[in-house]
Amino acid sequence: METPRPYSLLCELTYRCPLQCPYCSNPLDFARHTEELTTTEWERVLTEAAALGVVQAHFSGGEPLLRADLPQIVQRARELGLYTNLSTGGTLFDEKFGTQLREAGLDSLQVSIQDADAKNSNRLAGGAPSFDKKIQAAQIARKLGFSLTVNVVLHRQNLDRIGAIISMAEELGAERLELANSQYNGWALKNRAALLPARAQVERAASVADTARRRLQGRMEILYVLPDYFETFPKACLHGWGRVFMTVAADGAVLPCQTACEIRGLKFENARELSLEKIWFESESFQKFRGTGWLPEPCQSCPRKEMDFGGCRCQAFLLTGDATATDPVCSLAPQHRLIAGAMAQAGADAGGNLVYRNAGESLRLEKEQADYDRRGLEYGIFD
Amino acid sequence: MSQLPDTARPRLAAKVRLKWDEVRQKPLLLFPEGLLVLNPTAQEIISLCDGQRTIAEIVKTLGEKFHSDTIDQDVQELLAKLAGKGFITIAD
Repeated sequence: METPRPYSLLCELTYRCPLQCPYCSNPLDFARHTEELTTTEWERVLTEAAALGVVQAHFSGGEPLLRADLPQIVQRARELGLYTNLSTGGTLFDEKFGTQLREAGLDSLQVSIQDADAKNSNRLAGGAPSFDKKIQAAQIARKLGFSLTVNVVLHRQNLDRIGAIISMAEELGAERLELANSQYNGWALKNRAALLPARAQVERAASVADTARRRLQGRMEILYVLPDYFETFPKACLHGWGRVFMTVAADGAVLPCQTACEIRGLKFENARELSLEKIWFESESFQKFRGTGWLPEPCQSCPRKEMDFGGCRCQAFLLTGDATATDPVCSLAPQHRLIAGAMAQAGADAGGNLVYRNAGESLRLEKEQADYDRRGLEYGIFD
Repeated sequence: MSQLPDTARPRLAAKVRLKWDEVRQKPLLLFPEGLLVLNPTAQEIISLCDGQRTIAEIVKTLGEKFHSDTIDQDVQELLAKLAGKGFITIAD
């Protein structure tokens, strides 16, 4: 079969961020990656991406507004005919920056808020209080005429307020509300005992979201993504590895998915050294899990293999130590018991002891990992 | 889903963009966090959603172009779907 071309490029413009969310999708060792692509390099990345078939560019971070050249980069993407979307924490978004982005042609703006409860939102985001600034950012965005998406990552510590979260997004005039349950890789995996919800919470929230979706149809689109731990079958992660998405990280590393660098032993090319076209079609990292030929049993003989591609590679690696294993969230996976184990542990650490995503913790966790490696211990959170 | 009135004037929402994909030689509808690969009929219908033409006018234009009797239903179905997703806005 002919290799498909990517539709979507995620540009993680920087790993710097004023927030410290304990479920951040940046790599655990982000503090080691301080290099950032220059404006010219990002412009070249976008040009190569458009030629490769990318039609959508998503700008995120870290906090992308920490890049003063963001409007210039967005404008270049628009000149190339790309649909542009920005994900921001909102704390640095003001009328001036917003106007620049609007003039640059930004198509869609996504503001992340941690909870509808100000105090809890501030606690979850870590660092200086951020809730009020986020609300202001959303209001300014609407005033400037942006199409606004509000994004709230869901977990045990905010899921029961889903009704209030939906009302908040409605009041802000969002056209779209993204309610994505946390994916337990990277930072979220470190905090899983505190963040993984109870089944009753998830079911209640799904029902609230469903009622609201019907009520608000045509006014505010609500996307509710179930946590995969509670599903029978795994997510079709990225709609298949190396099939639709590619990510360029802050330092130029080109990844099949933003958390793929959690898969230790997999080497990633850099956009500074090779073209996106060459990386997409020829690199080992993009070919490794592309298609279904590599799938193990029971996936290989499973009728769902073209639907979910064996699930999330990062999750398979982080939970089993083997990136080629069936995603353990699948009820048919040989190591599905790992999920039952985690569900039994859920709530054990609720409320306290969150590991926040900041440089200090990043360096500490990296050292912890190095110590494991030196001692020759197998990587795994259940050892 | 309820039938949209023939006098309604649909317009593509600001967050949605119709694009010709040069690389794949296909029409696309782009929106936040997603896209649709369109068939030629859908592309024609959407390209006429300019906020000026009424649904009746869109149906007439396309009926003449494609010599089709079922275009009315195609237009209604597609527009209802797009309106449900907030991809088009309707001015009366």
